Amino acid sequence: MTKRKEKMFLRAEGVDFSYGRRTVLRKVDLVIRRGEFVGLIGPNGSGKTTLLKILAGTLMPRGGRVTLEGRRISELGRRETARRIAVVAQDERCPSGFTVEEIVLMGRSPYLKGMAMEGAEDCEAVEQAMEMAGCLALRRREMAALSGGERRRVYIARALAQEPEILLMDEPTAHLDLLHQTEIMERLSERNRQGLTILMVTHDVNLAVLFCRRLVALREGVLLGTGCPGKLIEPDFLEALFGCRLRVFRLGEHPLMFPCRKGEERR
Amino acid sequence: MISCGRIFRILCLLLILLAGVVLLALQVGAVTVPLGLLPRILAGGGEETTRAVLLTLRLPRVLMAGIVGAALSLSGAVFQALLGNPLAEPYLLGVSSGSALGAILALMAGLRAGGFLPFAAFAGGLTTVLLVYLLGRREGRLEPSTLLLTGVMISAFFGAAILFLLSVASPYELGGILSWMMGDLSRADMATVRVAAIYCGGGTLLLLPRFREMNLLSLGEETALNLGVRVDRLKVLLFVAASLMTGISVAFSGLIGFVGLLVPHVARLLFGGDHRLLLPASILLGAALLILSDTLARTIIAPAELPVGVITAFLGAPLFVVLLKRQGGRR
Repeated sequence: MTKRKEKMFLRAEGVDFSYGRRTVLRKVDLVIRRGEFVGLIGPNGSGKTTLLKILAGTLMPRGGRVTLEGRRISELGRRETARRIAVVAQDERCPSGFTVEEIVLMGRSPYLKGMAMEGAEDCEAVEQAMEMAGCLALRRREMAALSGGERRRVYIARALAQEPEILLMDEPTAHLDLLHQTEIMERLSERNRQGLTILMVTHDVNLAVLFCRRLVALREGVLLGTGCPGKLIEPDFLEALFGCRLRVFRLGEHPLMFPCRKGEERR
Repeated sequence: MISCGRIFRILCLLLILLAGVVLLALQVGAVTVPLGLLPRILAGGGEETTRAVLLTLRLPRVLMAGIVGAALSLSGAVFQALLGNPLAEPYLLGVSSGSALGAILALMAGLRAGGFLPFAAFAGGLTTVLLVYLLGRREGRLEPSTLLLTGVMISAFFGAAILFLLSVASPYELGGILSWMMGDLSRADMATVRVAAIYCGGGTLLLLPRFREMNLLSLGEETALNLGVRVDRLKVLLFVAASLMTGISVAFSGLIGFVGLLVPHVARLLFGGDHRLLLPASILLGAALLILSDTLARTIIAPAELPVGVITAFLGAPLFVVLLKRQGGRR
């Protein structure tokens, strides 16, 4: 593997997508490098989730292509893709009759052949993943009996149990309380420093500023810009992105933003 | 996680239950065969009339009930996973109404003899499945909600056709049609048992090893895809195998309701949603339930018979409600 290739890890080139006649993505080019922690931000309906699904290989783009280390996702095969890319979707379905541990264990299936049972190695990965996502104490609980935030942590644990090279998450902190938001994000940052590449879709710009090392902004299916939080998070840029007036505070090196209420002055 | 040991223990228990039900079913009826005599008669000895009753009437009937109960229950579990809907059951996608229409058309055309009825029913069921499959696809993929609605609509349409035919049928034809529509295991003989066993056995061998993929499918199609399942291929396999098994069952035993909906739910309430246990448990429970129900159906008001579907519902529905109420404790 050459160095240059390693840098270009997951790549979308000229990706177009539409649901019926409604165009959702227009000629999107995006490169995710190995080891990055990228936040994908933008208003509702800007195509963030669709882009994430296309990067994951869940949806096929209508035009353009997505490659992982130079190979098309569609040519990788589902099992290999699942060993390398894990996804936490926004609207996961909660099945009945499964415990938390059983759900997380399903993250090991890309490694299991045929009718083989899970081995010690799988159980260890599951244990670690539950620990990291903060749901070890829930392991014996029935999934359907958990709260939305607790389930969220279980889905993140399942994705971590896949031991992927890249983790794609759609609003991973939705439904999480403040403690679990920061706890999960801290732990993901730690995994990121250990080499896990992460892309997360979020509309919580402040959370993205605090934890992501690069932000990508999407509006109406077009990439508006990309850069490190300090550079990209300009009030003018964000007001154009979200279409509302903002006040910006500074917390050390991090700019944090809140929308202006009616009659309030900017800044 | 369910350990191998637990799966083994539960399945052994269910096997013992099934064996007990089979032994009971072979004993009771118009001619009572004491338990001690069963081995000798099955080996070809014993008194001639008793042997004839047991081997040509009772045994095929018990075997057919077992096969059909197992097949419908397994199909039910598969359809529930495929459609991601707890109300799904083998008849939901129109197999039943298509088979019924085929059978009724055959009956009214006077084609009763020579085992043509199962053939017509199977052809009707298969045609319907094909129709639902073709109409239920969207952009070349099987889409659960489209599939479900298509199945329900086709069922409604064929149901109307059945009612129409019933209203113009002669009383003589009506009797045959009604007994078939209420489920009737009395026509089973060793030849049909063999055919049913081959088809349902084949379907079972195709479906059972898919337990992991079915577990993943219950997380939703996209998640299953992201966890390495080739979802489109899996859905076609599940749909075709479960429909074939249902079609064969319906062809030989008529419309036996409720088993395919009830048994997977009972199994899920008792043992959880993991398909590696849920599928074999549904098979064994389904076989036991239908054999028991059919035994009751033919003995309660002997020499007359009750429709077996009445008994499955009378036994199953209260059991199900009790389990559902108890479920709070499991969480």
